[in-house]
Amino acid sequence: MTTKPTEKRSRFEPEPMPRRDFLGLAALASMAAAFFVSMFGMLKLPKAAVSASPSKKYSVALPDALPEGEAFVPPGRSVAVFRDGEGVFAISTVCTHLGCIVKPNANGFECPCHGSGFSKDGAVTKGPAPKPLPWLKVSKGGSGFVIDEEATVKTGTKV
Amino acid sequence: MDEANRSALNEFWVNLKSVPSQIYRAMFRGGAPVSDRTRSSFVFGNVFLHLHSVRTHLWSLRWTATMGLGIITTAAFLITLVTGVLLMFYYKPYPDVAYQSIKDIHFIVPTGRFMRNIHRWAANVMVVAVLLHMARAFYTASYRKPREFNWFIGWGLLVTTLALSFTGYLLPWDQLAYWAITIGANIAQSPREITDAMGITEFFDIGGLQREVLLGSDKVGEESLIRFYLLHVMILPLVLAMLMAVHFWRIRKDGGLAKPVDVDDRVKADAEEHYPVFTEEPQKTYQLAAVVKGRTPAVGSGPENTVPSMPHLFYAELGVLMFTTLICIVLAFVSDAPLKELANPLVPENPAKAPWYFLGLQEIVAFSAFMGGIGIPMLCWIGLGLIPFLDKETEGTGEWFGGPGGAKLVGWSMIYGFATSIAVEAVAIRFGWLREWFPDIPQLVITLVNPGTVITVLYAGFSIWALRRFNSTRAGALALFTCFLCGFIVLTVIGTYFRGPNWEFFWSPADWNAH
Amino acid sequence: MKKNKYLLLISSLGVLALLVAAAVSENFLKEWHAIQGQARTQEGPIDVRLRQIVNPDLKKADRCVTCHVGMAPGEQILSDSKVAQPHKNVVHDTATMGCTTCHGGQGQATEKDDAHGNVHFWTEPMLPAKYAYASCGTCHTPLNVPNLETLSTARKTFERLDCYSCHRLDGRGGTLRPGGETGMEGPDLSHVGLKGYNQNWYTAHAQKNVEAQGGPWRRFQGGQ
Repeated sequence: MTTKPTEKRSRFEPEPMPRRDFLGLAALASMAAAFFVSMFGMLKLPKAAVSASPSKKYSVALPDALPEGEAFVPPGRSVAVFRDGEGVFAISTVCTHLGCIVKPNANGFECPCHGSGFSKDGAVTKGPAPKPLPWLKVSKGGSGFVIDEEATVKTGTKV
Repeated sequence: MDEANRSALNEFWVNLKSVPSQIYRAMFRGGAPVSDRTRSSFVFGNVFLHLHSVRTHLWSLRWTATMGLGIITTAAFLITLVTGVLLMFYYKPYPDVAYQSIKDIHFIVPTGRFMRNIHRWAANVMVVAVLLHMARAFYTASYRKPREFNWFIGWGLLVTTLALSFTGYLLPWDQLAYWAITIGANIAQSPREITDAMGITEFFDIGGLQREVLLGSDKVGEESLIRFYLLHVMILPLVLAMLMAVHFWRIRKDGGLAKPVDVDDRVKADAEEHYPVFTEEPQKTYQLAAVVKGRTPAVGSGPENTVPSMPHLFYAELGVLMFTTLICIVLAFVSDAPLKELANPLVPENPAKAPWYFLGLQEIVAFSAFMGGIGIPMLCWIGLGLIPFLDKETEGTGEWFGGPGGAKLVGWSMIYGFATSIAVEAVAIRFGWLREWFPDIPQLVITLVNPGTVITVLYAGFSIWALRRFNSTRAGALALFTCFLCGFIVLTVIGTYFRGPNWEFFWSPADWNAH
Repeated sequence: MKKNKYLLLISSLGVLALLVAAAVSENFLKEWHAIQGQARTQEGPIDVRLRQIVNPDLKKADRCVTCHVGMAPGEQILSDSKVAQPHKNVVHDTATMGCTTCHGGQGQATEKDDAHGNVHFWTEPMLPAKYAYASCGTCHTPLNVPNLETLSTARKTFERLDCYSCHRLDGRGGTLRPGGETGMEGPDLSHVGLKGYNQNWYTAHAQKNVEAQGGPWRRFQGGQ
C-alpha cells in the first residue's frame, strides 16, 4: 500500500495544462473549418448543374388541317397546342395540383389522378387543383411555331 | 387546481427555454474533459471512441512507433468511403453509359472531378499504406503472441483492400479498365495451365470456373460490370468494415501496441506533467479478470508511463487523419484520375497493364500465367499468414528490426533481394527464357522453371542460410520478408516503367514505337 | 503532443486552403464563366450557368453551347464576341439536333481543348468547319445527301477505286487479314482528316511505308 502523496493533487483534479492552449485550439478550429468547407462541396454535389432532359424550347409543325378546338400534342411533350380563328396558343398539360398529365376532353381537360377539371382555357372547374393551367409562350419561327415551356404568358394570348 | 396548472405551464415554459442547454448537456453528459475522470468518461462513454483505451502508453505515441500507418490506412478508407458514396449519386453501372457518366462527373457534376480524383488517390494511398503498415507490423515483430490472430485479420484486410481497388478499376469502362480486367480475369483462369498439363481440365476446371464466376459471362461485359460494381460498393466495403472493427478491437484486447519488455525503463513520463495514477486508496482490482481467460490487467502496479488518451492520442489520430486528407487532396490537385477511350473489345490496349500493384505479378505472368498469377502469390500469401505460427521467439518484440541479426541482416537481405531479382530479370530480358532456347519445351517445365520461381527459390535459400547462421526463426523470417519486399518492388518497377508494347523491354516509354 | 498539434494545425490549414482554391476555380475561374459573363441580351446580362442541348434520339448531351452561348436554345445574344455568335441557318434545327453529330468533338466536355477533342484518348476531334458536311453521311446512308456535290463525288470516288476492299470507312468495307492475324488489311479511314487534311499526306504515307520493313504496301509499290 503506497502512502498518499499529500502534497500532490488528487487524480480527479485536472492535469496541469496551460490555461489557454492556443495551439490546440487553433488546430481544432482549423480542422473544424476544413470539415465545414468540405461539407459545402459534398452538399453541392447532389444538386445537378444541368438537368438531363431535352431543351424546353422547341419548334412544332402544326398539321394544316387541325380543327378548331382540337388539341395537338407534340410527341413526347406535355403541351396541348390549339388553333382557332384568332391564332395559335399552347396550354401546359401538367396538372397544377401534383404534376399528373391532364387529358383534353370535350369540356376542356381532366386529370386522371385526383379528378381536377379544367375548362378549355385552363381555368379550374373542379377538384383540388389550386391554379389554372398555364399558357405557354408561342412564337412564330422557322417553318412552324416555337414553344417555350419555361415562359408563361397571360391566358388568352394568341399568336 | 388552477395553481397547479399554472406552475406546470410555467415549468413547461422554463423547460422550453432551456432546451438548447439541455440538449448540450445530454450530448456531453460527462462534463468537460478536464480531469482524469471526465477524460476517461469522454472515451468510454462514446461509441466511436470507446475502442480506445482511456490511457495510452508513451511508447505507442512516439512517431517512430508506427509512423501512423494504420491510421493513414483507416483515414484513406474513410475518404474513399465518403467520396465513393458521393460518386454513386451519378455513376451508372452499365457499359458505355458508365463511361458517359464518368465524363459527366468529370465535366459537369459540381465538385465531381475533384471528388473522383480524391477517390482515386485515396484508394492508391490506402494500398500503399496497407502494405507499409504490414511491413511495420512485421519489422517490429508485432505479430507475436498474443497478436497472432490480429496479424491474421490484417492479412485478410490486405487482400480485401487489393480486391476493392481492383474491382473499382473496371467501373469507368474505358480501355484501361477493360483490358486490365480482361487480364485479371485470365489470371483467375490460369490454374488451367496445371490442369491442362495433368489432362484433367475436362473434369476439373477450377480456373475456368473462377473466371466465369468473376465475370458472369465468357468475356468482360455488362454482367461483369454489375458484378464488379456490387463487389466494389457493397460486399467488399462491408467485409472490410467488419474486419476493421475486429482488427481495432483486437488491438485493445491484445494490450495495445507491441512493446519491448523493458519499455518502462526507456520512456519515462514527466512526473510533473503526468500525475501517476493508481497510487492512492482504494486500489482498483479487476475481479472479473480472475475468471476470464487471458492476460490480466496489471493489478497493484499502476499503468505508469501512460497519458490520458484524451487528448494525447486523439491529437495524434486527428493529425494523421488530416495529414492523409491533405496528401490525397494535393495529389487530386496535381493529377487527374485517368480516363482513356471508351472500352473497345475489338482493339486491345498495347501494352495492356493491370493496376500498378499487380504489375509485379504481370511481370512474372509474362512467363507462366499460373505461377505468376496464382502459384507464387498464393505461396507468398499463405507464407505471410503463417508467420506468427512459424516464428514464436520473443526477442526484439516491439522494436524496429528486432531480433537476431536485426537491422544489419535486413540491410544485407535488401542488397541480396534487389541483386538477385534484378539479375534474374536481366538474364530473362537480355537472353530470353527457356522457350527461346528450346522451342519445343513443354509448358509444364516453364511453369515450374521461370524467373518467378527461380527468384523464389533463391530467396528461400537465403532465408534458410540466415535461419541457420543466426540459429533463429526470426532471422529467417526477416531475411525472407525483406527479400520478397525487394522482389516485389523490383518487379513492380520493371512492369510499370520498363515494359512497353508486346511486353517488350524499353528503357523509357518515349522509345515505344508509334504503331 | 505538441508535434501532433502542429501536424493537425498545418494539415488542416493546408486542406482548408486547397478546398477554398478548388471551390473558387470551379465556380468562378472556368473559361465559360468569363464568356457568359460578357454575353448580353436585349434584357441585359444572362445568368451564368452550364447550358446544353440534349437529344435523346441521338443520345447526345452537347455542352458546346455553354461557351457558344449564342447557339443555346432560346438565347438571343447581342455580342461581337466570335464565340457567342448564333449558328447560321442550316437544314436542321441546331437547338434540338445538337452539335457533335455534324462537327465531331467531345460534346460532354466543358473546356475548350477537351470539347474540341484535341486531347489524348478522344478519338473524334472536331472536323474542320469546311468538312462538316462529311458528317451528313453518318446518318444519310446509303442515300445520297441532296445538294452536297463534294460529298457524293468523294463517296463515288471511294467506291470506284475500290478502297473499300481493304479499308473500312464508317463501318463499311475492309478485309480481315488472312491466317488468323488480328486486325484489318488496311487501316480504318473513318477518322482520317479529322485533324485537318494535309495535301501531302498520302505521298508521305506511301514513302514511309516503302521505307518500313515488310507490310502490304511494299508489294503494292513494286518492291524496294
